[in-house]
Amino acid sequence: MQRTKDEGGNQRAAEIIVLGPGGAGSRAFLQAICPDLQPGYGDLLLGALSVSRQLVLYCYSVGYRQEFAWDLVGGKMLGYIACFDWFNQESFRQCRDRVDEISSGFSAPFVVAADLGEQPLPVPACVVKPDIPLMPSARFLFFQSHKPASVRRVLITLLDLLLETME
Amino acid sequence: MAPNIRHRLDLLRALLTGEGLEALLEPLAPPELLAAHRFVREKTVEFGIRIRGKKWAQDELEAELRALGEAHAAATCPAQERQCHLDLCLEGQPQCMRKAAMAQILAMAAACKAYLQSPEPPG
Repeated sequence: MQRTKDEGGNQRAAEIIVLGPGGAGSRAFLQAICPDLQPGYGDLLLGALSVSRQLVLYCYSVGYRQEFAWDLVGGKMLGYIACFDWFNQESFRQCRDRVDEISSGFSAPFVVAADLGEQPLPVPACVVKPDIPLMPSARFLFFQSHKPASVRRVLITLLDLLLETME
Repeated sequence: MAPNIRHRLDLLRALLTGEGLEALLEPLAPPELLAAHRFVREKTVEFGIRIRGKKWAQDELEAELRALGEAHAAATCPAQERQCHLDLCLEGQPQCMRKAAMAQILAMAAACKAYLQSPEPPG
């Protein structure tokens, strides 16, 4: 994906990584945030969300098992979102292991998002809304991947966390 | 020592699903177990307040943990203390501390399960 500059000057870019099982689920997640999607190598998807003419948010969807140049790009990410299927133990394990691995190498904030699919919340809403703190730089929340507003809520949680960690 | 995010995710999932924590706690080294104790305590308080609001009685939880600590100390404390001091026993009595911490963590997990299954206090 080529970064563009408007005629007025430099464009600033922020980058986040969306970790997920890959495939259609990751595509749907990114589509809810980024109108402009392009395929990359393997399961990698690249999305861009223009916040303004000067600011673009780039989102990279990376599969749990996807090879990725973490050493080159991991350190410059604004933050990470890690998604898994709440009802699938293997999906949880893969997500947990990847989050553990990446968070030990990079300090950017993490949001771990459990996808409920079509199912209702398994616990009273007041327990998990808006989210559950995992540590100062990480939050946990439930979402529904087929609902764009719910996906955007995950992104907003990451942005909130970024503001909190800046304070 | 703070539990790493891996342990936190495991513990949080177990608390939310009501699954047993024993299998998660068994492999933990004493410092990790102490960190897990802090995390579970933090979540138990958080869940209690979020679910029951002002009706939640933290005193009840504290009293239950204190009673467990007193019973454990009375039965096994090598220093003949009247109450378990988990932090203080980490270095000197790690195995004794492990048993006391496990009992308290499981009690807190049971409290969380009760909050989640019965959001309103009985009566």
